[in-house]
This record gives sequence, structure tokens and C-alpha cells, in this order.
Amino acid sequence: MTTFEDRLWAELVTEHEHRLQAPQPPTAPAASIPPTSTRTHHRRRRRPALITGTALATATAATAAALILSASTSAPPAYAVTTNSDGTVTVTLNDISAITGLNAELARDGINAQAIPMTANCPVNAPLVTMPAGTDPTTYTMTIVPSQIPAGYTGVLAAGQTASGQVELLQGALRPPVPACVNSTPAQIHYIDPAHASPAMKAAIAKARRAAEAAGKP
Amino acid sequence: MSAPPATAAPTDRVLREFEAVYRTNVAGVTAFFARRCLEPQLVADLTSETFVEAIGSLHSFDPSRGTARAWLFGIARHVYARHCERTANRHAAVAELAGRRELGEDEIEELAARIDDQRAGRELLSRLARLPELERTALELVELAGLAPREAARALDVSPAALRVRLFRARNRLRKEQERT
Repeated sequence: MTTFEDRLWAELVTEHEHRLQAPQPPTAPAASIPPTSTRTHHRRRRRPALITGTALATATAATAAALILSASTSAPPAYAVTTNSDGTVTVTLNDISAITGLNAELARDGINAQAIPMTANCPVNAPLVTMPAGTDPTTYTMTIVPSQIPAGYTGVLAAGQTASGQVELLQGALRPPVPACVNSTPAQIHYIDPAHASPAMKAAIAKARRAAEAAGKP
Repeated sequence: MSAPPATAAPTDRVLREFEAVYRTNVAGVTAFFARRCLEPQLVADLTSETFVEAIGSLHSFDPSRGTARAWLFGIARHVYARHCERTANRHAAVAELAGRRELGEDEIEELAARIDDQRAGRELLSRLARLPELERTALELVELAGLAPREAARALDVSPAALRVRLFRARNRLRKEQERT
């Protein structure tokens, strides 16, 4: 083992030990978590939602094919919010235009999270701090773990649309007020949980946030 | 993954298993980036990013679907693609700054040596520059990173049959290039 490899391992353990030791956020298929409440809303033609980021790397082609097949045979709901018995919240968004309805639903259920559109031309370069998100590549829904949202932050589901029209969701947290939209530039996404970031990373995140706030002002 | 001691607490087991995955694969992942970048700091950042992302998606890793090595190379490929998008973008500075860990002199030297070690691999990749990225990476993972074709298929998220076609094309192209020179 070399110096670089040892130091990197030490850094990974220091900064991410909580994710390696704490039980991972529940990711079991929704079917195995008995839902306590589910409301779904039907709209016109739907496309399967696709979660970007790490889930994409592990989603299999077979799963994606199965989803596209099921999407063409039956219309899934525009959005769905399910509060699970373990306190986690499963969110599905199949139609980008249903964000308003989804947010109303989240607010009604008292969930500290909001969906916002993620577009290439949004002037807000919010440094979205991504959290350990429960994602389920088999159903392409996203699980919010409210206990993982840092104090003083609001959970954010950035909802974008790929060139082919598929919805993509990215989960993170921002300090309120939550902007009306967020820029989809990958550079703005930081894979760091602020509660466990090193002082240097915290400073970098704070600097990026200040820049984003300045850029977001008219 | 090596079997953890039977007495290990369940939470400790995750850490031990991940450490085994890290120790086994970190050199291969570093080499993957050393074939693409000439900057030690960048190789370190992208290697770090790959493992941070692996920790984040640990819960979705399913050993029945493929090896940990295939899973990691799949992540490494996405990390590199994202890096390319970032550098093509004017906001690059912010993200690069956030991910940066200052390297020690000894680490810089060590990584510079690894970058040097990958000279032949870089040359191979540059000869395949005109091939689609998928074919180039398929050949790289099998010939240079030592993955079994099945693992490479998993890392690239294609079927084993599709991978064979890609490999065949990439090798053909390489042969033609060699005949020409």
C-alpha cells in the first residue's frame, strides 16, 4: 500500500465513516415497506423517471427496458408521494410539469422538501449538497430520508429533463429560501454532506454558495 | 470481498468490506485516471471522487449483478465523463475547488510515477481516439485493466454479446492502424 492510497483511505474514513457505519438509508423496493398513505395523480402520457448520478451507474439495461415497456402499456401517475412506516418518504415524478402539484402534496404532508426545476439556462448556480439518498433503480423513484436533511436546510429534489424527454431527479439540500430553479450544470453538484465536510471543504461550499446567491440576485 | 470476522458488528462489517474493495481496486482505478490525465492532483481528485461516489451508492451495489471491480469501473467512467463536462464549462473552478485535497510532495511524486507507468496505455488510447468512447473503454478495461469481458460489460452497462461486438471492432481498428504504420 502506498502513501497516496493510505491517505486517501484515511480521508474517506474520516469524512464518510457515518455512511459506512450507520445503517444505509432504506432502499428496499417500495413494496416491502408498507405505505401508510399514498396519493397518486394521473395525467396524460407519462415517461419513466430516471434518477441520475450514482444510481445510473448501477441501473441495469434490463431494468430500464422493463420500465420503458411498462410505461408504454400503462400510464403511471404524474407524481406520487408515499410516507413509509419507517418515516422515509418515497417520491415519484413522471411528468416535469407536475412539480407544482408535487410540492403542494409535500407541503400538505408536512415534509421538509421541495421539488424545483433543473434547467441548463437557470441563472441560479446553487451548490446543491447531495445527501445519502435512498434511490431505487428498479422503480426510478427517490426516497427522502427526512432525518438526513441537515438542520436549517430544506430537502431539494432537482427535477430535470433529458434531451429524450425523460425526467431525472437529483436529491440534495439547500438553505432556505429555496430558489425557483437550479442550474443543471454538473459543476454545481457537490457530493459532500456539509455536516461531515472538512473545514476546507466547508469553506469551499460556503464560497460557492455566496457566489451562487450573488449570481441569483436580479 | 474478503470475509469479515464472525464477531464483527454489522455496522463494522460494512466498513471492513468496503476497505477490502478499496484496497483491492484503488491501484486499478488510479491507473484508469492516470491513462487520461497528466496532472497528479487531478488523478488524485478523480480517484477520490470515484470512491466517495461508491460509498454513496454502496446500498445499491448488488454482488449478484457483477463484481465490485466492474461496479467501480462503471462509476469511474461516469466520474471521468462528468469531469470532461465540467472542464468544458465556465463554472469548472468552483467544483474543482470543492473536491480538492492538497497532496503531499511524496504523493505527487508517487502519482507522477504512476502517470509515467501508464504511458503505453495512453498511447493505445490515443491510437483508438477515433473510435466511439464505448469501444475504446471496452478494449481498455479488458486489455489494460484486466477485467473479464463479463465484468467489462457490467461496468459499461451493455450485454456481454454487445461487448464482444465492441471489442471485435476496436481490435480490428487497432490492427488496421498498425498495418498502416
